[in-house]
Amino acid sequence: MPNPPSEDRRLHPASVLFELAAHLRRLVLPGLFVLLAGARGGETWQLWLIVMFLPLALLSIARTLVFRYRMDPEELVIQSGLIFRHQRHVPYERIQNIDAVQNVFHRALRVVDVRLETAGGQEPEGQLRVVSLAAFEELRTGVRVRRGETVVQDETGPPLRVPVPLLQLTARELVVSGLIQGRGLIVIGALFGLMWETGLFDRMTTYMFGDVIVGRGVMRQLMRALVGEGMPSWRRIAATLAAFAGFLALTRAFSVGWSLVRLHGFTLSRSGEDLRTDFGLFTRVAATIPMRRIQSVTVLEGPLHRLFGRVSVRVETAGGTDESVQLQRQWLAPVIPPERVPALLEQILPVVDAAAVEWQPVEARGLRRLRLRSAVKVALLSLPLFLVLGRFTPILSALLLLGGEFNARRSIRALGWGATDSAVFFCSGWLWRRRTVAPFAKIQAVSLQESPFDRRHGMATVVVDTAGMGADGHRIDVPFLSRPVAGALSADLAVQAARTTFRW
Amino acid sequence: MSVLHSERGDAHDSGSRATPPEGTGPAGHPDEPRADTLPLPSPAREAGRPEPPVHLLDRRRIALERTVNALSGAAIAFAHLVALLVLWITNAWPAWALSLLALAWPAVFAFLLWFAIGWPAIDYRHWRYRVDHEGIEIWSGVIWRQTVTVPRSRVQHIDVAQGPLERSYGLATLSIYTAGTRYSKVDLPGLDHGVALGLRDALLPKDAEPAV
Repeated sequence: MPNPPSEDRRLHPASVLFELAAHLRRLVLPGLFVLLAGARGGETWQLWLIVMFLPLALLSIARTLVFRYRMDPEELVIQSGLIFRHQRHVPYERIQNIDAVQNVFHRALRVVDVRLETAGGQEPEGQLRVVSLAAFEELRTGVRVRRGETVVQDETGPPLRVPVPLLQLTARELVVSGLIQGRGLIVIGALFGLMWETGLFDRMTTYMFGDVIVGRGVMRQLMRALVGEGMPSWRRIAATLAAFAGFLALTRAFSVGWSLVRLHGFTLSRSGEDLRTDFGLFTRVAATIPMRRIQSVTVLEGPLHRLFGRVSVRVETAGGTDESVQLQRQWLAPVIPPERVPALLEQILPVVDAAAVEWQPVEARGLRRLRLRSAVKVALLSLPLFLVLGRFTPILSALLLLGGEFNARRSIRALGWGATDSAVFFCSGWLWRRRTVAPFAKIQAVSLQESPFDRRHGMATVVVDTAGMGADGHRIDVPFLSRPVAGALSADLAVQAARTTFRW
Repeated sequence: MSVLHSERGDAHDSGSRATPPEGTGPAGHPDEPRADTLPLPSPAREAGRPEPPVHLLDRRRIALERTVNALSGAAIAFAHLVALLVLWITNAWPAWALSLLALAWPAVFAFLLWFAIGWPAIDYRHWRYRVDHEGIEIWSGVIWRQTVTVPRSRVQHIDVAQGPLERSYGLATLSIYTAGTRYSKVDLPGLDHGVALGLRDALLPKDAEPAV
């Protein structure tokens, strides 16, 4: 399809407002600090700092005004810079995601904040803050068309593709999601921090409990009681327990609220070769993930998931390690009934036949090694424990050993791996059970590792490396394999990976 | 790839030592025979294609590592000595702690001496690499051993780097970059500079199809 370069496009006039708002937001916290500190100390130099920021803000507004972008046949060209002019060429092929964020103000002005992400790099490759909805649509379809993807042509108007909804979360599901994911801790933490900073906290505790009852004191008293200095009063223990339970309930309540607001109207849909997630009550987020960018898919099942009969599905994409963006995109399905997972997997990883996988256990002999590990940990712990608890140490150590044994037995049984003719599978964890699948085409490197302990037991670990495997991701490290199995597995994975071509 | 290496003086060494025993697959230390119980088909091996030879690093790496370890070891031993002197003069530590530190010096020195003279040869024996149709495999590690396999199609780019010491020995380090996370950079040190350049050219895609 011939695609003449589009003419230069500017940002939406409202961009200036949002640029200013971003600067103001950056100033709010230091500004508050300055006001508080200034009110106390009576020093004015901090105020001057704010004044110094003003030219910077003006400069960025000017930058917004000179910002241009255009769509060339092969690449998106972004021009920016007032004094030093920057021209950035982003080939369409390399664009990983096109995300659009709309908060309340964006929606009032009918504009979007667009982020273009490519593999690698902490921040978005290009950010268009802000463009009109029409310009965003033009950009999105333009990138797709120029990538050479097929776009269903609507007879009447602009290119249009009908998204197939894969998952929609009702308010009830969102409540469940909030309960499971415990996001509230962040909100509570922020509130706590704020109260602490402003000195509200001290006043509140003294008002509520008087000077005597403070949670920390009860813990200390409990410790003393164990060492044999007399129990704290039952009333205090009850108060602490109640406070703890209340705290837990409060965090969950906040979490539910967060989920209802943040993930409001969550929809996952597939349109052509892209997955789209749309959600948010105040800040609307529309994230696009090209399906071939998916590096691995992980299904998580924690204790709360089991209670509600749900699992979470998360995908790793290459690039875009920016926290907030990750958060928006990674949870492909915050909650989903487990029986719907196979159908979802089939949609998002069509090359992988997840039903064909035959799970293989790891070596049962690994139990001995896990047991030894926990014993060593307990032994290392027991000395400091002895110093604190004295004669109660043996009891506690025995309990820890028992717990370790239980954990080891469950853990070794939870470990498993499998391979079909197109992907490698790995599962681990018994309390938080995680299953991950990575298509052969996304394997970057395969490694076989042998520690001295491995060699003594004739075992090895097979490590499968993919792109975008975050620190908190479920890494495919298959431990406790017998040496021949590990050798064959790593060799075959390498051969299989070599036979596929990797595309970003 | 074997051509590259046979030009070198140590070709005899690498050839005789490193030819894999029958049935050694791509992964697994070449010292050890490996059972071929395959959960997956491996057409490359089933086709009985001759497997390319496994190479050792350049022997000059031993000398290079000895120099590096001797320099760092000397620095540590010297620092230890200085610390002893300072603590002795300032009387900051109790006598028993100071004598313990003094007694430790010969032991530390002996270890550093061994690390400078003996260790590089041991470490050298555990480095292997092989380039074949599929990609490159690198064996390394004496105590914690690992085999890394990078398929040819996953190589993003390759650096051949020479530090000042490496240059004086005519050696180079080949760094292979992938799009992976933990193996985003795989190093193969201790190569003759010419061999490293040859490896780089052999690993980079010949048909200049844009990879990304």
